[in-house]
Amino acid sequence: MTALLDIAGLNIDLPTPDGPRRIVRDVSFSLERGETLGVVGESGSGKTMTALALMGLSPEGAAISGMVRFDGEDLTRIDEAAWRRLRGDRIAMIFQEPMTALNPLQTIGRQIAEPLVLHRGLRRGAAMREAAKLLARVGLPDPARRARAYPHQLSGGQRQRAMIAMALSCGPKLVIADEPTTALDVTVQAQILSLLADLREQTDMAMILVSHDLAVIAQNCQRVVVMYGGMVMESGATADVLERPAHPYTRALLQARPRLGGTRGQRLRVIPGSAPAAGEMPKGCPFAGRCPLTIAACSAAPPPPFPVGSGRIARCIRLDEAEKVA
Amino acid sequence: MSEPLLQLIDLAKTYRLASERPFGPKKLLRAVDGVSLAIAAGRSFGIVGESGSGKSTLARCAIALEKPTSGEARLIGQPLGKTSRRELRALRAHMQMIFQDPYGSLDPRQKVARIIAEPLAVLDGVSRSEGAKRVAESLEAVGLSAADGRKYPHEFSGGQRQRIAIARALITRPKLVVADEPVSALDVSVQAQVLNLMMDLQQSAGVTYLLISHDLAVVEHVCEEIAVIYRGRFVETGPTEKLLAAPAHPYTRALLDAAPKLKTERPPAAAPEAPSGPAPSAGCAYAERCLFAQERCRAETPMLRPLADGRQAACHFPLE
Repeated sequence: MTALLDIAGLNIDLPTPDGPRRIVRDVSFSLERGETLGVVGESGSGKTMTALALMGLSPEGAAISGMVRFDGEDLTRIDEAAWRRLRGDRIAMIFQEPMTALNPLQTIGRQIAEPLVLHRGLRRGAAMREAAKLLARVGLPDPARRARAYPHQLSGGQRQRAMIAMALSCGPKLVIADEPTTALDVTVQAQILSLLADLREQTDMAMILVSHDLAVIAQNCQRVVVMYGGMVMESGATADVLERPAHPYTRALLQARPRLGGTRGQRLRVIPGSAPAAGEMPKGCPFAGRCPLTIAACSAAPPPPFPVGSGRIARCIRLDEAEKVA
Repeated sequence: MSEPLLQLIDLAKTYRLASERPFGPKKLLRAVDGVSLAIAAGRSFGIVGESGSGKSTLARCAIALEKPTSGEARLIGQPLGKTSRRELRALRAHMQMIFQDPYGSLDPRQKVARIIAEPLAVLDGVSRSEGAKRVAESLEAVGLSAADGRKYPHEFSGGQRQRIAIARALITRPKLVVADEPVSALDVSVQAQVLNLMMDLQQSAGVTYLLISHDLAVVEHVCEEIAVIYRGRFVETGPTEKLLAAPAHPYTRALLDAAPKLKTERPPAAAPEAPSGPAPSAGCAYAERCLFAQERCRAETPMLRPLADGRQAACHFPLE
């Protein structure tokens, strides 16, 4: 059976006054049906741009090359009408800020019903009943009443549940969740993540969870893609990547984080400097310079992906050295 | 024991909410409801809470940006509420704040040197040349160069902007710095730089921190003592290691369990969601979410009571 999603050599160029700038470089990964993949990266890493490209929501004027094969179709070649049929039906998205992603002037129920009317041809009344069922499924108490509420009448966690209900309405094959819990409190975050885990167990939908937080991904994804400077630095099974990070960036990211149960006042391992801004990508490895193992060759050309174990790659020409340091 | 640098005594702040219908009764929101704490000079105190817990209101009351409804804040023994405007102005030099958002807290149309020099206005008699010298010192203390003062905020990354905000807070050589979520808007790799910087400055300049955060790991890393705040009240306080190693309050336990960890197994079931609306007038505010709540919890409000090893918890049935 072929993968549900197969991305190979994806490049995204955004127009700027100084000419096009490449913000996603040679990104490749794939996703099986029912699988959950984490995409982790800091700001400017290209993780959101990659996610938006999968929804056909790239910014105006973006040039996309490479292959994005979803459910047997190359998404880089389809037109806007085809995107409209796809979006909200077979691919759905959960955004970071439910307050801005929801329409403040429409009831929650109506917004959840909309994709059902659009894609499934349900009548308004039937769609509204279905919306209430979906709200019950995402754990909102008193769903029939909640369906008549406006977004501002719900708490942050409830709004995010409503967003998830909307994404699930047509039974998508793939859900892309872009920082779905970043705007929420930790206890609410835990609830939303556990809801997403439950829903995945009940259906065979696949999910891409985009986050800046490695810990959020650790507990929820079988595989992880670590992005930096528009490139995939490392990818593989989450447990392997977290326990034995191969790439110096992944390692630095894990060490920079204050962790519960750590020693107070101990200096944190700092990654010197700052990440390249989106669109100011260097010719070679984007982590060169900040990386303690940098040599001249790092800045000369982008590092190719090297296999490290089964189903796992790291883009680093200094992997042998990195292993010694570890 | 010497006098604490910052002391809050039964501090409360109540806001009037808009009424639900015209001419209807106005509801009161007790954002902070009787909080006391004392921080010794050169130490760090952390306050952990979720949104709406009153932690930012508490921070603002602590440095006289808000006037408490009752109770008082004292800096170096001086009650902030009872001082004259002139005295308060002088005291302001000793207390500074670092805000969460390094994009929103720096004026985009001013050069960095001017932004950093701004708090000097409260100090009488700082000459121009002295001011310029201090700006350069401040910039260097946070790892930027004096030449960076001639740039605008947009020319800096998020982490660098937070350094600029810290440089601005330090220029009056304050004794107390209140930091409200200083790293939560920053990328992980940059967080470490800012946290290290804050700790270095404590070593070199003896700054006292009141650190407000939702992130237990950040607070644990910096603070000797912490307080967990829920709906305007401290539910547990004490030495950081002891409190986090074995929380006595069920809410502290829930926060610890909810914090995502770098482990691949599925976390324990999440605690129920916080109810909205005002806290119940009687009983423990956490009772409606608490997995261990009993009859007494809904009837009688628990007070902060001392436990072993210097900790306090406001719970009728503290966890063992």
